[in-house]
Amino acid sequence: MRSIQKWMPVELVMADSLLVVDRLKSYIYTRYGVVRAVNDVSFELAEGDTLGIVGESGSGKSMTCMSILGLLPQPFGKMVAGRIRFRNEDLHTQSSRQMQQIRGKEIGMVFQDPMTSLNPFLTVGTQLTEGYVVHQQVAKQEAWQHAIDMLDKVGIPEAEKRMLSYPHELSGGMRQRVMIAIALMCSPALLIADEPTSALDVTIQAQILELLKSLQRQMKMSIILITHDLGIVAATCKQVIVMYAGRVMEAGSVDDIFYRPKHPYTIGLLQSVPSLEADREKPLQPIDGNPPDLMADIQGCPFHPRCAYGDAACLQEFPQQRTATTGHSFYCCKDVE
Amino acid sequence: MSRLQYTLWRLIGIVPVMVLITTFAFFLMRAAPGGPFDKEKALPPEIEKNIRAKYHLDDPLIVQYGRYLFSVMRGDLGPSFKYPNRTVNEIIVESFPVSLKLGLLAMCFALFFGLSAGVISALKQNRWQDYTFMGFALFGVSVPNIVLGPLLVLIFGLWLGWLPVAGWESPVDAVLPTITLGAIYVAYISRISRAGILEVLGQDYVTVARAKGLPQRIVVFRHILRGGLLPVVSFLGPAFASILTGSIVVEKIFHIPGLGQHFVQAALNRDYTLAMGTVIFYALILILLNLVVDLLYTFLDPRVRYE
Ligand SMILES: Nc1ncnc2c1ncn2[C@@H]1O[C@H](COP(=O)(O)OP(=O)(O)OP(=O)(O)O)[C@@H](O)[C@H]1O
Ligand code: SF4
Ligand SMILES: [Mg+2]
Repeated sequence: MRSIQKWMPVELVMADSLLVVDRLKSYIYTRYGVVRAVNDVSFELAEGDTLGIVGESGSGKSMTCMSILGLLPQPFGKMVAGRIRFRNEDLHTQSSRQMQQIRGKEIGMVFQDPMTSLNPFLTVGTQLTEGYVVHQQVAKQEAWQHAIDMLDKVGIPEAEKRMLSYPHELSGGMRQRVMIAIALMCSPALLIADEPTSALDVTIQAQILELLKSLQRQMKMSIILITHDLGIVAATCKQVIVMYAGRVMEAGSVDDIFYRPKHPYTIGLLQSVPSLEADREKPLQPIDGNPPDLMADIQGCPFHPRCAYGDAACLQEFPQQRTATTGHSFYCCKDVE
Repeated sequence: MSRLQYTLWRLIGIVPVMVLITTFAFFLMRAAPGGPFDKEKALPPEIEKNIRAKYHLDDPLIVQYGRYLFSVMRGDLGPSFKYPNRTVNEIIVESFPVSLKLGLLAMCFALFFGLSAGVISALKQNRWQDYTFMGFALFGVSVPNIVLGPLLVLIFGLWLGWLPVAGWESPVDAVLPTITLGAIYVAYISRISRAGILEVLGQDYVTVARAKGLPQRIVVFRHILRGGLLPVVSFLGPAFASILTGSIVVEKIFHIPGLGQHFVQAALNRDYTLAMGTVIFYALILILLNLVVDLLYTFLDPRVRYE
């Protein structure tokens, strides 16, 4: 993958990219002030690839994805700048009807919390089939059969019986499988998985990730995987972007990020991961401090208050993009490491 | 427990509750000062004595109570004191349908306008539609029907002359009483449904429904209204019960020959049996309405368990 170069017109950058997000800004206009939830985020995703988005809570990962789907919280969320190109179509210029055609059909999404993402009043079957019926314009029975196959695929036993269950009759892991099945019903070209496993226990986490990987191979999907968990990124992704305070701090291949991190925030995140190999004795070092208030007007580098390397120079302006190697870029004015 | 067992269990539970209510009604009525025959114009002692004997008023209280309870449990509310040739059952059977009709009209009125206003307000939250409807709702809950009724009569009956001011003969007679009785419930229902829908609008599953690319129509009707209007359903039972009892005032204002009128009259006249009978009857209706709503709920919300 080529690097994301801000000065280059998008059309020239990647004709073969499935998704190009270019200088995206999405703000939420709350009663108390403007939340700059997504602030100048760019990335691209080739067909069949997996992109990881990591960052602490509140860094704008979900809002980035909601911008892609055009589902920012209404009526106060708004995409204020940038472009999102999907299959060389500018999503922002699509009518709401056209967006409906893309949602669920071309882009599937698995949401963060399986406990609240299923409608408690409808059966699993209804929730699986309703999108398929609309998009593929098929009869209910056909959709029903397809849904049973899909439940089978995501590893739900007694799929036929489960179709008639209500969400409260299923465990968390089962619900998340159902959510994945829903997202995959129309064989989307892009699957956005927003922390698909964070609500689940470790064994089920591993199962679900395995499942996503094998389904990706079968269906040739691209995946955007959002997570706090760097271990999951290492195991599943090809490209990674590290977000902080609505901005991209560092972007590169998994190897770049894990073995050659350039940004102090990335380094901090990596140090806070329990390593499997050694040093179980060594205590974790979560990064001290809290992310900034996104309603405040942040001068310079948003990581400054928590950064061990920062000085007055970092407060001048938001750091320029720098390129470590091709495809590996970061936003820090210091040379760390 | 199955739904049928649950229903049977609840039905059986009605019996002891009704015994309690009958007991309360009986002793409260007797504890109130005054009796049915001590009006301004007292009856000649001979006649009063005959009447007291006829209605067993001279028996010990506990015997009277036992006899009354027994007959109520058989469904017989006894003879009226003031209308000597008629039983309480007859009076209820004759006048309750009028109250029921008025109550149903008011309920439909309240549901139609309350739901429309609530749904629109929620979907247009913080826009002019919302502010307008919720302004009306605030007005609606703060004006009691004893004020609203005469006000409507004054405006539409007397000044504009569009609608009759009282009576219960032709359909137009029902317009003002229906509005008077239902207005406050329009207000309540619109607020409850608005709050319920707003709550659901913030739920992840609605975002999920949108992310599936479903048309707005399906998102609203299938995913939002279903859960959002559930609080309205649980409000319907108590609401209908208080519409029925609320009609006592409205019947009085508009001279409608319903059970409410009889109840007021009976209380004033110390017509023991009619007053007690009406109370017991209303209580039974209330209990049954609650049961119906609870059962309805088990159909609407699959998570409900029967205890
Ligand atoms: N509906 C909303 N109204 C106001 N602010 C919001 C809303 N949703 C999100 N935000 C704000 O937008 C910012 C980005 O939120 P986002 O949900 O994208 O974070 P995230 O990276 O997905 O975090 P998490 O890991 O907790 O899911 C946060 O500061 C959050 O407070
Ligand atoms: S720009 Fe300065 S404050 Fe920001 S991460 Fe780099 S060194 Fe730290
Ligand atoms: Mg999130």
